[in-house]
Amino acid sequence: MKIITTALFTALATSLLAACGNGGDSATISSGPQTVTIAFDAIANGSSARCGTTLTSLGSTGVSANLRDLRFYVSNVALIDASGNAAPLSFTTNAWQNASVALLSFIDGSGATCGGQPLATNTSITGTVAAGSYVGLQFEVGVPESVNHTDYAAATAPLDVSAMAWSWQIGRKFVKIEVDPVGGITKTAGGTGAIWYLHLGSTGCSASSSSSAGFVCTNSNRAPVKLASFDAARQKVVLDLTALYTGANLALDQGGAPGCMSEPTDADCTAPFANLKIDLATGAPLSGGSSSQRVFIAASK
Amino acid sequence: MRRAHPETSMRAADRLTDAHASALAARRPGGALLAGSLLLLAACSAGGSGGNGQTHSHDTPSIPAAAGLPQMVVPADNPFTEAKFVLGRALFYDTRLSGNGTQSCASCHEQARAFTDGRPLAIGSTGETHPRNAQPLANAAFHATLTWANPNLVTLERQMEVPMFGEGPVEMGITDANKAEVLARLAADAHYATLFADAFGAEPIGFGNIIKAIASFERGLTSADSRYDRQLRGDAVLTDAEKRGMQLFMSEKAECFHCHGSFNFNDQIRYVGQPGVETPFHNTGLYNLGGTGAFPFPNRGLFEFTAKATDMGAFRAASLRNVALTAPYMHDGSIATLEEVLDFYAAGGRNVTSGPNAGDGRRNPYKSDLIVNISLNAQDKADLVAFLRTLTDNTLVTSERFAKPAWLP
Repeated sequence: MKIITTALFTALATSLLAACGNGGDSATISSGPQTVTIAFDAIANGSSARCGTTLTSLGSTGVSANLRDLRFYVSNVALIDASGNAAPLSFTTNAWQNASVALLSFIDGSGATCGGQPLATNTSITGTVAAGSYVGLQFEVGVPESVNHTDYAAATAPLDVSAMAWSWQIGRKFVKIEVDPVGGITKTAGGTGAIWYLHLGSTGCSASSSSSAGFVCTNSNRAPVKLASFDAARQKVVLDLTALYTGANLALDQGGAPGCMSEPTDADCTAPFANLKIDLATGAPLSGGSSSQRVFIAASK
Repeated sequence: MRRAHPETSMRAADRLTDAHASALAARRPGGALLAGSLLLLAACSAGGSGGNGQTHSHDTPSIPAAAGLPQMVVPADNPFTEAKFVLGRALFYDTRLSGNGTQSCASCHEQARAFTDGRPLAIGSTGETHPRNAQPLANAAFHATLTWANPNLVTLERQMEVPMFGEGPVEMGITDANKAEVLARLAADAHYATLFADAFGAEPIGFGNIIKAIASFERGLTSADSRYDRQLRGDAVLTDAEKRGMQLFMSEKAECFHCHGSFNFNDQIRYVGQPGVETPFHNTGLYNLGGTGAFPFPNRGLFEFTAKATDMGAFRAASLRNVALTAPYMHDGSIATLEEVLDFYAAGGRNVTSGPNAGDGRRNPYKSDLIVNISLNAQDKADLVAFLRTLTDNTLVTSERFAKPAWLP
């Protein structure tokens, strides 16, 4: 069990952190908030998922695919103590996070499929949490409703990323994962496609004066994640594309948007939504899904 | 009023400072809509649902725009100024505003075509074909929602993010990779240093104020000087054919006015003092894939947002102002001429007999009950077309005020 200590006395905290990092499970320093960094990673079939690598054995037909895009927003992050109490992580404001949401991006732009132009990546989130002893982690994949519909052109980081804008719903893509399956995609409606899109975001939105955000959406499509056992010092959160695509046929497009763009009636959304534990019809999280999901897992750094 | 934040207002002519503006202001006696016009609107409204199940009123229609244009709703954070209009006009015509520098707003919205492009489907800056027909922009500031079917787009400012930054399809093609370059191109032109300073003071050039300026230009693109408007003011006389067409247009026989009866000749409008904004969308029977009621992807109308079968194929009724200049017609440009449009409505829909879109649209289960078989003879159709041509506003399509500034490259 990892002990997370205080940051009020920085030098002291640093030494304590080092001292307590080897499995101490009872000492608690409670003199102020502690800075915590949580590392993220993305894998497919056990291998790192990055630009320029071929992902293997994806989906129901076990296709190989080239990664095109892999970014997602997280919010409502909290560490969980041994009693099950959640202590919210307050994001540090930087180029990838504001007070309410953080963007994780695994694409560096290298290689033709990823665009061929260098892109900055971000594979961790940082913030402060009340001093305490924590054993688990929870977060939500998505942009909070209060800021989801903000004006892209005037937004600050990380809501100013054009690629994550979802202007037709006046919102954001919460998840943008795109792969080019080797051998292409056959469309049941006829023809072929190259890119299997997964765009997760709130749908069924419309302008509304009854909402302080100015819009209401029928389908939230935010995915809660809870890792009962998580040690931020020694572990990272891993997005497992193998689990994400389980049951999805990436060689086929069954109509609607190419791949899945969160349409409740798109059969291609059935598998990824089930894996993310979101009810495709309503956009609500499935009961117990945050703990039973296997798309986000804890793994050693 | 369905809006997210408090808004100020302006009368359509108040911000026009040249001779054209004086003419506009002089010919509009009141500005308030006739009470009958409100009745008519109520009759046509479906409150955001699709056409199916829509109530159908047989109240006597009022005279569209009999009192001119009403007061325009303007967002509180973007009050209209002439300086913004002038800047927005330049930006509207500037190809440097697209990612690859090849396309401006005007590429798909040409003044001579009442700000449309003459194509069935628009083509973006990277060559990608848009699934939809480019829409006219005159009086767009009075639309309750913007584009063919999107209940989210209620301000010109937010709508503009779609063509500028949209990825599916690419229109202007501004991306994370090129957005700094796009701004740098504009900043490098001394004309813009002056225009931005005039409009926004010391604010740095950014997409926020670019959008505000272009929206202000669009608010200036008002159209109320057609021969139809002039005859309302007593400044023109319609021909007998045009008068017969107008009578038909307003009649229960042709049924046009149900969806095209407002001052703007459509049924989604907003203006200051309105009792409530209604946002009806209509399935007019263009398609019926395999008899299922489906429309071809990705043109399924309001269904794209609600996933309700009853919203399949439901689109916003277009304003008919300048309609003679905006061919081809419908959301996908699939009807070439006004005469064919009338044939389509007279038949109560369209029967596609072959190909991937085969199906009898006349029998689409989600079709609006306002679209029924109507009996129009050749004379009726010719008269209706003659009337529709009176809605052409030559001031809009020739005014220097709305044209490309001479200094632009």
